[in-house]
Parts: sequence; C-alpha cells; structure tokens
Amino acid sequence: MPRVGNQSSSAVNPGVFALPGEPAFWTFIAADSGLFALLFLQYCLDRASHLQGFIAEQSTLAAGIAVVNTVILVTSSWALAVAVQHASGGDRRLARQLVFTTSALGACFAALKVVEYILEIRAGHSFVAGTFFMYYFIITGIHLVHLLIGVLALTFIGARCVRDSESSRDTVILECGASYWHLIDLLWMFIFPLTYLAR
Amino acid sequence: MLTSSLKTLRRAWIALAVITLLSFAVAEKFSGPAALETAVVVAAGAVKGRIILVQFMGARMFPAAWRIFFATWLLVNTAVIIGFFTLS
Repeated sequence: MPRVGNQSSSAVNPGVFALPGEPAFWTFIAADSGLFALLFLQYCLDRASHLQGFIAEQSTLAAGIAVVNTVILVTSSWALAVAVQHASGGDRRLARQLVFTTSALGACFAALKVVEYILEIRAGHSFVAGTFFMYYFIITGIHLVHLLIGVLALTFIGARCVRDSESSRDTVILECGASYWHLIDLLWMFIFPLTYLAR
Repeated sequence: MLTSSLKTLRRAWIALAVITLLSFAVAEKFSGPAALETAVVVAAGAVKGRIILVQFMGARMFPAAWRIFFATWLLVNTAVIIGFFTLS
C-alpha cells in the first residue's frame, strides 16, 4: 500500500521499511490473523473426526453467491487501494468517493451474505443442522462481523478523514482503515475455498 | 508514477477476479481426485492472498519480521488445510 501524504508514520523517511498506519494497530491485525488460523485448524481437525458428515453437509451448500461475493470483495479492496493512491497523489475528492465505493461494495457483500443465510436456513441448514454448518455459520459469521465493522469504519473515514485539508492523524486513520479492509479480504481468500470449494 | 501504480493495481484486481472464477470452475467441473481439487483451490486462495498482501497492502515495504510473519501465515494455512484434506 502506498503511504499517504508526507506526514504518515511510514513516510517520514520515504523508502524505509515500515508498516502503513499506526504500528500498534498491526498487533491487532496479527492477533486476528492468528485467531482465524486457529479456526481453520480446528475446522480441519473436526472435519477429520466427522468426515462423512462434513462431506454430506458441505455438498448441499450453494457456492454461487459466495463466488459473486468474492468478486465484490476483491473489487472493494482494489477500489480502496486506488483511493489510497489518489489520497497520496493529492486528489482527495476522488479518494473520498472511492472510500465510499468500498463501503457500498462491503454493504453489498453483507446483503448477499444475509440472503445466503436465509436460503440455507430455509433449506433446513441451520446452525444446529450439523457440525459443518455450525462451522460455516461461525467462520463466515465472524468474518461478516469484521466486514460490518469495516463498512462503518470506512464510512466514517470517508466522511471525516479524507478531507481537502490533510492532517497526519487523518492519514494514519486512512492507512489503518485500508489495512483492516485488506485483512478482511485476505481472510476471505482462505474462508472461501475452505468452506465452499474444498472437498 | 501514479499511472503506473494504478495499472499495477488494476492488473492485480483482474488477476484476483480471474483466479476466483477459475477456482470455482475447477470445484464445479473437476472430476479427478478430491485431494487434487482441494490442493488447487486452496493454493489458488494462497496466491490471491499473496497478491492482496503485496499489491494492496504493500507488504514489500513491511519490516522483515512482518514480511516473515505473513509469509508464514500464508504457508501454514495452506499446508494445514491441504494436509488435513489429503490425509483424511
């Protein structure tokens, strides 16, 4: 991610290796990444113990909506990366529009996820329908909560922190928001194949 | 400079979308061993994760410890998932 402006935490010395945004925020990102890695491991362990049940339940899961959502999510991440570039280049109006575009795409992802949940529950695949569906709702649900927090955060950032008059605080907040959103995208790159595609 | 960066980001986005659709096609159409299908779709996810880290998050400019952390995170997740699905 390009560093925004000339006062960012990492751009004080351009070219120096540094994390974007607030370095302490990356402790949270690392902890969150570790939590999901443990969830993936636990999923694999339980799948090995209940293999036939997992395979039977997973085969009833429709992946079509998840494919569309994956494309929406990578598009939102791209829009935000472009927003950071434009903020860095001084076009903060376009950057603000792209931040709001990212929020809107995130909201689309959430809406489609709710539709997917409704369809699954109507088909009899509720949280208690089996071990696979328990994991499906837990993993995708935790991810959805992350995403909703991201939508709210980016909406706030677009409204308050990507202004014509740049401050170092605004810059750090934009970089933190972008890093968080890309983390949501990154986590989904394993959730998608693990729960929908891998047999 | 900005134009070049935007082109790189656009190429990354197209790659992410194409790999996603190809992964889905493999999962839907592939009739070979399930373990091979799993390896392909999970490895594709890892490649997409790498693209997000490098192109969107700017991982090449991270301090070495953080680059190692995320590279390890990608490798461990990929190895654990493929390993368990192959052996079970």
